[in-house]
Amino acid sequence: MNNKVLFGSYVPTNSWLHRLDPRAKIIACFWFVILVFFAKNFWTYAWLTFILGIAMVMTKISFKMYWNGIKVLIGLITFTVAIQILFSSGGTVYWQWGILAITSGGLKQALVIIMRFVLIINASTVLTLTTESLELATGLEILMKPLQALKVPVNQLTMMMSIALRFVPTLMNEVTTIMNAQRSRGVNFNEGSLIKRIKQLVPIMVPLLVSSFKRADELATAMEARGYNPDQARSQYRVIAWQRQDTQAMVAMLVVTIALGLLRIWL
Amino acid sequence: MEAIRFKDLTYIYQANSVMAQPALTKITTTFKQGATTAIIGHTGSGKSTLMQLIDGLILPTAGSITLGDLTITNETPVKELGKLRRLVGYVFQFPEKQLFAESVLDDVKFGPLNQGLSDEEAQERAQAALEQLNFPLELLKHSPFELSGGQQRRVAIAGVLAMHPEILILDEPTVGLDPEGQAELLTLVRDLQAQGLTILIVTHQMEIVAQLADEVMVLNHGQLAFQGSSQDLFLQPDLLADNHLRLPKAIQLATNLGQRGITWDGLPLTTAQLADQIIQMWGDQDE
Repeated sequence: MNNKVLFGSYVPTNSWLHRLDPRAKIIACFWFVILVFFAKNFWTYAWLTFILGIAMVMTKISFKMYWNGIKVLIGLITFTVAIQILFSSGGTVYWQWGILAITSGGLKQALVIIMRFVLIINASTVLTLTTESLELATGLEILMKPLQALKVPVNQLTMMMSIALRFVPTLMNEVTTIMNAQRSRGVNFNEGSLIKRIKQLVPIMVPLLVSSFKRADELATAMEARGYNPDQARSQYRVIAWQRQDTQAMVAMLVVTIALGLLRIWL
Repeated sequence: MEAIRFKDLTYIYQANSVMAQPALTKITTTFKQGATTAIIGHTGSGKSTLMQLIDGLILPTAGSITLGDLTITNETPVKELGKLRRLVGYVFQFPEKQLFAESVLDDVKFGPLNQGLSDEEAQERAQAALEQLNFPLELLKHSPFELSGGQQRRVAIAGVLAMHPEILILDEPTVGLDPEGQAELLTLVRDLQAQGLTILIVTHQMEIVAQLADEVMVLNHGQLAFQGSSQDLFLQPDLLADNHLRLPKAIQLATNLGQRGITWDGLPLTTAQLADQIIQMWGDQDE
């Protein structure tokens, strides 16, 4: 049912980016998102778009899939952009009605927002399309290790995260099954007023919650039976190793950053 | 009289995309009215997809399904499917998962109320369905989540029966039940058969096939591998092997004894029939 939700899904094409260490990819993606906020003028945005474009081509995944990822968020983007255009001031005024005004400053702002949205969404999509969710969890776990010094329960958090990731598809299946079962009992989910539609969620939400509680209970018992102790140091089954290509990726990010800095100063 | 007719029925998951996966390919067949058909085949052979198509939960990619005077094709508007779901009652695998209401009675009433019945009518139907399933009526006002697994399943099945379907789909109804619960469920299916319901039962248990089914349909990789009586199926060891199916225990024993020189008066399908024939032979020997 959910071929629309691209964000968070993984497409195996075994590209260079697929083989990178998840830590390298997380850092690069995080860093890129920060860079997006440092971009200022046409050339800096052009540069970031160019770099992201290269990364997207390198994933060997069709641009249509990226477009699908953005399509889901188009409502949100339009809304934010509309607000920006109508309520910003500055520059030449093209049209005015009370507090609403379309100005050159507002249009510029709107363009900046669109660029930021597109760049950030696509950058994170590159990350999730090329990294399996469990790899992602392992990567985050290691990256978060230093937080242990601040008494953050990293072990427990990452365990919760990997369990959550593991159960997303299971729960999705469960939702489909429960929805089908209720549809066959005469519920029509695409019909009626807003209130009626919200009421129709009860026959889905209640069974889903109940089965999640049951599942959690069973899983906890099974984990205890297999000797899981949250406070103990655990060894890793999934070992990820930093390789030369990962260093190369980091160097590439550094080059991108320096170039961005220079473009910002000179142009 | 036929209850269901498939014509070149094809279903492809995520059709028109790179991830397209054919689940059913060009199935043409009919199901008799008032008969019980067992649908068997190994996991992933398309059994559940077929059942969802009959209930209008998904639309065929190509071909058509005809139930009574309703014909469902790829172009059928979603609104029409409601009519289909009035005819068909679908008991999903582990149906107890779909319980949600505050009381047992409310949950069973849910289906009839959705059909537009009045509250009294729905209540009558709910009680009748629960009685038919031997559900202890003093628990009517209890929460379904307080009940045992077996009782929960009976409530869920009652919820479907209360809608008075003409065609009943049972997807693995006995899975996860204790032997007593399984026997009870089989008795219920026999009662429903006597009432003249058209029943489709998806199962992996060949004993159920032998005991209940008037007809058997074997699916293999989305294609119809066999349709006919269970006797005919069990007499074809090659067909069984090709479809990863095994014989029911009674027939297995009868076949083994047959290889040692015992001749049967027709293949005994159930343990009872097997015992009858053995007793008969015993008697003949004594004379």
